Amino acid sequence: MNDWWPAAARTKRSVAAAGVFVGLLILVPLSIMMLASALRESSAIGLAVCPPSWERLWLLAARSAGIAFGAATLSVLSGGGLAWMLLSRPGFLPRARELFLLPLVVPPYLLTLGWVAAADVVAMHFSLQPGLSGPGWTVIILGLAAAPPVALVLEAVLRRNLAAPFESALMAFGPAGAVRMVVIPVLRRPAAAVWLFVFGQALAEYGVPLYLQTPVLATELVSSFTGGSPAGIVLLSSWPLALLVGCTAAAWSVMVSREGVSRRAGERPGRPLWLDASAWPVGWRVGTAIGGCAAACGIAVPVAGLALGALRAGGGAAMLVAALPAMRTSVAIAGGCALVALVPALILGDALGAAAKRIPLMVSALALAIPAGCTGIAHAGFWNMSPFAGGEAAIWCGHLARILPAAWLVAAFMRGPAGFPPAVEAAMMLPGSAFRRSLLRMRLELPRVCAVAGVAFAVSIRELDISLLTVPPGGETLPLRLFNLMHYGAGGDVCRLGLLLGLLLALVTHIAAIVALPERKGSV
Amino acid sequence: MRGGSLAVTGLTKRFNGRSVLDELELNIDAGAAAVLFGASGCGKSTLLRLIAGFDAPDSGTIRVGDADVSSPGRIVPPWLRNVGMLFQGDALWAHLTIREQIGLVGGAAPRSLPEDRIMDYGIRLGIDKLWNRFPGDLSGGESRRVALVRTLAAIPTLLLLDEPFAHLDEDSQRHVAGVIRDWHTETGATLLIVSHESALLPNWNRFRIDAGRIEPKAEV
Repeated sequence: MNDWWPAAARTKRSVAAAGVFVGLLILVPLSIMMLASALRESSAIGLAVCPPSWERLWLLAARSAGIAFGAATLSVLSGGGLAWMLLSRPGFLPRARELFLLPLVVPPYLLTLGWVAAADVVAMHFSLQPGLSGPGWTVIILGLAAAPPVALVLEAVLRRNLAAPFESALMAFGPAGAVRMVVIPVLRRPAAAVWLFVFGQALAEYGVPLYLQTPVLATELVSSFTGGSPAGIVLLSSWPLALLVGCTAAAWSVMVSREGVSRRAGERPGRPLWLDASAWPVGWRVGTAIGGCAAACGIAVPVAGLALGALRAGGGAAMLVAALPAMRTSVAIAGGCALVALVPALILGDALGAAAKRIPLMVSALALAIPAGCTGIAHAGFWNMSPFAGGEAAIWCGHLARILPAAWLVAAFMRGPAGFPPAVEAAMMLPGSAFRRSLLRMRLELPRVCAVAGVAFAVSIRELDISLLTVPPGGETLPLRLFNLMHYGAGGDVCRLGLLLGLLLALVTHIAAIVALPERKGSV
Repeated sequence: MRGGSLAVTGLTKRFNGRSVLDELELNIDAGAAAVLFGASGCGKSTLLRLIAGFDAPDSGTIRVGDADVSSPGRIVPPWLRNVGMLFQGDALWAHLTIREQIGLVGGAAPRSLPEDRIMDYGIRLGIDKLWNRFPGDLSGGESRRVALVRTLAAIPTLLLLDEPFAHLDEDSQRHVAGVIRDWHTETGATLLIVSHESALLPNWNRFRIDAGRIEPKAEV
């Protein structure tokens, strides 16, 4: 075997095969649709649908960027406060970690529904106009939804970096000086990286702005396709969004590569004395408490809203039964895609971690940054031109193309540049059956495998844009059903359904955590 | 049956432009045992990882027995090299009991010790009461001894031991050195040990790494 790549612990052939697989899924439909449209446009002037005017384009771009800026800033500020609160209560974190991941796995439009339901309760109580809309609420909902996961990232960064340098700075300069000289420099790059990540995600978000009647670039993209514009033309005219998201992805990858992919570091058990709230200036305590409470609202308000909304009258069990086929389809697609994505994602994650260079990371970030709307439009158009038109190929391939970049980035981050743990290397030395060796390696890397599969499943099951654009005639997925119900205003039923989906996702996350985390104890 | 020889020729490895191994040459005869020592960070573990196949050299060749396992354009994966290794970290598999993991390694290897001999080594190293435990239940010293027995259960062409005496008290170090000597005599495998405690293994070839190279003369 001549093509073994020791640093990635993969053969170069398997890395190349995985690369070709994802390239075919992600790039080919996009390129073909855009090329076909460009050629058609140049040969038949006047055939294309008129793109939006410059004035409207600027307005949409400015609104998109403004919303994304506000959401990213809100998420980092409130997430930073929550991160500090979590750091000072280490016993609280293990129990709450899954809870803080909920806004990641629950679709943003569902969180919006929760916010709207909660706002309706308040509005009814105070006789105010019910309903939420506008850029302000879009910023608040997207920003607070991102805050708890941001807090987890920043808390991990602080936990890994703060011990000795912080304590020595604390002794020399006191709390305020230590914050200025250690905490802020330690947090600066990771905070910038998560800010850029949230900014990119908020730019490409479709469901929340649409529900809150706030036209942005992402809603314009999908609505012009569903309004009858050819796929290629829509993709070509989406350049402002592509430019914004692409620049964000490039900046993000620069931040992450400077910071380094996650490094394993020993975590100190317990809580150092200096984390006691009483040791800190009043302003710091108030600031972190406000941030922490705001970030906690990102989870608490929508969940409470959904629960309150579920108490309202509606179709009852019949509505839930009617949603079963859609739920079955969504679970089948998400589970199937997660299984298919697992092997290429792990291979590419290993290769990305081993290469540890900026260009592959940037390419990965750009692949992740392709808005779901673009992927959905490309696959819908591409498969409609093929003999598989009207079948399920478009929805499966669209979902796979969407989840793969996220899955391989998670695989790369969980591996890190430090290489594989010795136990995995020892498994690689096991002679004999390749199947047994692979099985042992998978078992030893179970947390990583579960994380990759879990992320793939969650991204797929919450994906609205691709379902909307690629679902075959007569088909329906759970996000699509939920979103349609939300627009028809079926309050109580849709809240119940949303709560059910949220509980299902929370259960999957919880089971994944149970399977992945604890070590078995002995029976002496 | 004797082990295979080890021939390392012109081996160079750089990390971030810094040369850790520089045109290193090392030859160990088939069935011989050698101790490798040198200052911390001089590249001992890197050399072992290159021989085991976990890293690729920038240049140079490695031959184990008759097989060319690493040369420009050809890197043989670790499991096809018939090389065993005791890792610096214990590398125990947390989901398997001690009995299961030793059985797994012994069963998978083309050549391994009989079960009674493995038990015997286990008794000598004081881990015979730990067979049904999981690695999470062991102390640092117990883990080290278990990892050693798991490594010794298979009989590879070449065995690499990275700091086998780490985390052990003086008595345990002497026991471990005795077990390694006996295993070597019993199996005839070629053995390369990285250790600062080279006095525990007298009369073996001793190679010192300095500035990325083996010092010209081997000490005995």
